Amino acid sequence: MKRQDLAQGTLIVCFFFLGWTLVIKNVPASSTATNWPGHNPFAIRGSGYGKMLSRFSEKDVDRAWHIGLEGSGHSDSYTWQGRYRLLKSTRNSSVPLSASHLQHIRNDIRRKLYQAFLLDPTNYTTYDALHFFLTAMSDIPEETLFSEIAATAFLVWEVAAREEEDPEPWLTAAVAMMNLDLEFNNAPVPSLSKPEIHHRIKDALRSFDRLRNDSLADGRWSELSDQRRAEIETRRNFLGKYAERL
Amino acid sequence: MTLLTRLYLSTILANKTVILLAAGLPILAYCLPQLVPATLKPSLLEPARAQAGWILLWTVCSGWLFLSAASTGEEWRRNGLLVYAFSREAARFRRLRLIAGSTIGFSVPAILFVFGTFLTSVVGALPGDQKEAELWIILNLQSCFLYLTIVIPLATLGFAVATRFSSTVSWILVSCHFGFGFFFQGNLAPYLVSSSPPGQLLNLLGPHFYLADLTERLVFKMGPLPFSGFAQFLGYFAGWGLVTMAVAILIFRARQ
Repeated sequence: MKRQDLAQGTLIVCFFFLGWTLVIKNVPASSTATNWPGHNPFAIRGSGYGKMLSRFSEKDVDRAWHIGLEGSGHSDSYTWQGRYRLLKSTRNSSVPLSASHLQHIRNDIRRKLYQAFLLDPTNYTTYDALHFFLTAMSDIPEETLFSEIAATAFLVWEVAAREEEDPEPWLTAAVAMMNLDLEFNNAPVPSLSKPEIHHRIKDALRSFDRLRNDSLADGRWSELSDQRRAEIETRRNFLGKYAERL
Repeated sequence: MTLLTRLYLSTILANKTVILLAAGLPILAYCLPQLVPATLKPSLLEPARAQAGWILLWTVCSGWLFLSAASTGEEWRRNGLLVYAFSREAARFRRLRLIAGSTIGFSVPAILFVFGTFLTSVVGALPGDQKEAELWIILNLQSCFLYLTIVIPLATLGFAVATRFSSTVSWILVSCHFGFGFFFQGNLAPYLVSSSPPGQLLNLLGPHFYLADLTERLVFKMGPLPFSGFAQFLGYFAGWGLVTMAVAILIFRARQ
């Protein structure tokens, strides 16, 4: 390889990425909660690998939430790697962020949360993080905010409520409906009445119980790690308590 | 078989990467699905096998094929082999015949890879239902044909560019062109259609390679393309292939 070739090659790569960055900056996002999965090369979104990547991003999403949004420590700061990661991403400057920088960071977090969510809308952690970010931290105007919250919750329901094998997505479906119920306390939800939402929550929990019993019966449930089982049980109990009050 | 075809095939056989890829692809396609969280949902495993096979084929194997074509082009021009082959041919359509000979060479590993993927997908993930299994095989065959119509002309383009410039430049150009059509054009298309005339022109002239990615149909068991639609896709990509080959013949240079 000659130096001249390298220079030519580098130039082509630079042009390509520069051009593409310009294009991306000016083109609206390809996939949103309303046109999911959108342009989906290799069908990653919604497939097994989407689930895998979404699981991988759970920890980052969680960390971004705790460090970036609450400004406090987080459960994985008990291990030394966790402490170092926390140290690495903790802000240490007396000068506050400028308004435009803050706006930039918010947009960035929002984009990343959406990416993780759209890979697998049935993932409990990524959906929850996105929902809480939208309600608590983003500065979207109220009308668009409510339509976004509704769109994400409807997408979760649409994808998760088809599930006939894995119990977990039904919990995400239930929590999505619970979020709709809580957020639209005064305003009516587009296209769904309150009793319908309550019915959906109870329905989702029934489906979860049914599928979990199936997986208990054929031994799939016992292959999960203890930690994961406990996590799922905690979610189930929380949602069960919510459903009892309805 | 012409001189260039035989030479290319014996070179890649001696290098052995092609054997490694052809054997490694099915093995990886069986190993990668172990990463998928399928404990509670075992039905995720089989489609994930087919998906892994096709992803590896499109990315790894095409990448290697373009690289191999590019380095072959540069090497043959440097050691004067192209001049020799040029002088051996009869006077009429010499460039065309040299290009055709090397294209046949590139298509052999491409067919080998695509056959391996087809076998992996059909053996590893065949649906149990008789009717669905038939549709699955048809869909995989359609995917194979679309793959070959896209990748072989691009390899030839890589070869031709390398004979004039260099293998580095050639590989970067061809893989950027391929990646643009495969990953980015799909994002861009809806925006360009509704934009100004230059945007619409870009949408018309840009390569829409993402159309050939039928993984979505495989993973979500959507069945094969209807025959007329498949013929249109094939026609579109054959057209692109002819244009690419024409450009390759123009760029090709035998002299040192």
